[in-house]
Amino acid sequence: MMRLIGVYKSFGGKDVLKDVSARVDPGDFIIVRGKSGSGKSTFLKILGGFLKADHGKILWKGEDIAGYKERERIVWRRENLGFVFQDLQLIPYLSAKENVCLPMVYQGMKQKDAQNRAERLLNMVGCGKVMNQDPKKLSGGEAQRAAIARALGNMPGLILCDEPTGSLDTQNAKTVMKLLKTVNRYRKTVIVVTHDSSLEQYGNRVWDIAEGRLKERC
Amino acid sequence: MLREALRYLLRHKITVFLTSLGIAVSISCILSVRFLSASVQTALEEKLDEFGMKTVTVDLFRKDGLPASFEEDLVRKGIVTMISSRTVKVSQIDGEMTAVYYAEPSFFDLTSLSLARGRFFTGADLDRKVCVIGSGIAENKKNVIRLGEEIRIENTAYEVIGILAEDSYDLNGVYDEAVIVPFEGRYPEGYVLMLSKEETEKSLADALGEYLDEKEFAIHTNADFQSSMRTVTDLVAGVLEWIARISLFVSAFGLMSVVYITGAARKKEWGIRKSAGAGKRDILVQLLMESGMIAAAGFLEGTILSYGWITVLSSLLGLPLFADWKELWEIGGMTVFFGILAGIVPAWRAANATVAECLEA
Ligand SMILES: Nc1ncnc2c1ncn2[C@@H]1O[C@H](COP(=O)(O)OP(=O)(O)OP(=O)(O)O)[C@@H](O)[C@H]1O
Ligand SMILES: [Mg+2]
Repeated sequence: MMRLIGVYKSFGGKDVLKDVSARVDPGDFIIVRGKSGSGKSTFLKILGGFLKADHGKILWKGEDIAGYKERERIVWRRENLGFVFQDLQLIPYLSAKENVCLPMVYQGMKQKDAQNRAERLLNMVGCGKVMNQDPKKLSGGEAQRAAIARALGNMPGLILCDEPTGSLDTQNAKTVMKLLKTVNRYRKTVIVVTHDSSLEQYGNRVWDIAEGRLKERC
Repeated sequence: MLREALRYLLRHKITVFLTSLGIAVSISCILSVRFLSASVQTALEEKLDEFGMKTVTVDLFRKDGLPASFEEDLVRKGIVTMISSRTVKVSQIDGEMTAVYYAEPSFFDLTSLSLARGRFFTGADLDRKVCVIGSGIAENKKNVIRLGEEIRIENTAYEVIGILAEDSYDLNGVYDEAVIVPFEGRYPEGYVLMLSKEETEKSLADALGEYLDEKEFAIHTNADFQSSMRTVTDLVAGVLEWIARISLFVSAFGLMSVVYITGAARKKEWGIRKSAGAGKRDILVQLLMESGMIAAAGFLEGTILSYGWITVLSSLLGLPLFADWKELWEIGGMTVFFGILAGIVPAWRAANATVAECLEA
């Protein structure tokens, strides 16, 4: 589904990713681990097309998305990508439901349909009761689950999560990971970046990033 | 997207209010200038109407086509009333020469002269020797002249039947030192024609047209004076309005800096939106809408504000409440346009920031 071939990225002479090659298959649940500053977020941003690699190819179903123009990248993102951030990243002046509607609205879905779908998604992640609340009235766990619901809004094939449990307690972290596992069962590819080793159990594959290199654990 | 922009603004009412205040003040200035110039104009015209707005002067380029009595004809037809004056010696009044006006009774209908005592003369008095005197004549240095007493103008006695209030004036001047007597069938050299109440310049022109060709006379009315007056007030109002418009433009810069700062502070939001599939245009449009709406809010505040003080001002100064509310659309459109203009730079910046730099914020 997705292949990275010889990807390099450096910031001001400092190599963050060196010759990274990898292969993602449909239905994978990949845990990417590494120390702070090892380049995990950078790696995820390159996968999502938010950051340009200095070098190398990123193939999506055989097509090189690294060479995409801005416009093409936006369209690709709308169709294929869901993104979950580390810290709570809901837009504060929109309700949970409106936040979930965002990707659908940008995709061009009708307001009414988007709302229906947002309600179903929020019910699915267990936030049905708080969907009309402001983000700041949501608990950390609820907010992160709402953010996952938003990432699912455009029915993406690939969901990228940057430290989705980073600001949650163990209990909430568990719920969120289980939710992602459920999502993964619908043959959606999930890539979770984390420094937390206890999350490894949820993935079917584990990658390590260290000194700019990516290695798959066997 | 409109809803989201509106939602953002409603959540940040204080920022919106403070930002739009500058615009509101400028709008108030524009509206007030317009109101004041329109009111002053109207008030001025009313005043002019009051004191002999209907005075006309006639230039004759050919006199031989006219019967000697054409002025009397015009008066008899009721088209004009006449007033003429000469200065003569009046007894009872110290040494000086006094202005004596010869007037039709209808003259009093056309001016704003008012009486302190007595009455004006009417048609019934035309054969009698009566007069109306100014307040300065009634109490001159030599004598105090009361109602019913007589004064002598060139050896003819005239009974005083009315005394004008102090400071009585019309376009001819102040009447304090004047004596007004009924028209005596013959006009001295200079005279002023005043159009009768219901008559217009056109009927005078028609009447003159019976004797003369169109090109042989010209009629001048106060409209000439009025229009030059209007040019001056329009000029002053125009300059003031441009100053107010410039202040609107300047407050648009204030709006720009606020949208710029808040736009930059919302980097994270743009990052979220972009990663949720928002394109440049989505973000551009949202910010432009927001700044346009802040400007619109300022416009509304300014309109309400100035409506308030215009009402107060007009009742305080006794000016007529006049404002062309239709022009509001034009001003409103201009304000929103400025608002959107002010949003362009900040919106452009937010829209073109990469997701990576937005997320790092
Ligand atoms: N825009 C940037 N400009 C310069 N340096 C950057 C930039 N983004 C990341 N870096 C550097 O690249 C390295 C990797 O950063 P990255 O954010 O990918 O680490 P990470 O593994 O996600 O760390 P953490 O676990 O703390 O989130 C860091 O040393 C960081 O300082
Ligand atoms: Mg990181």
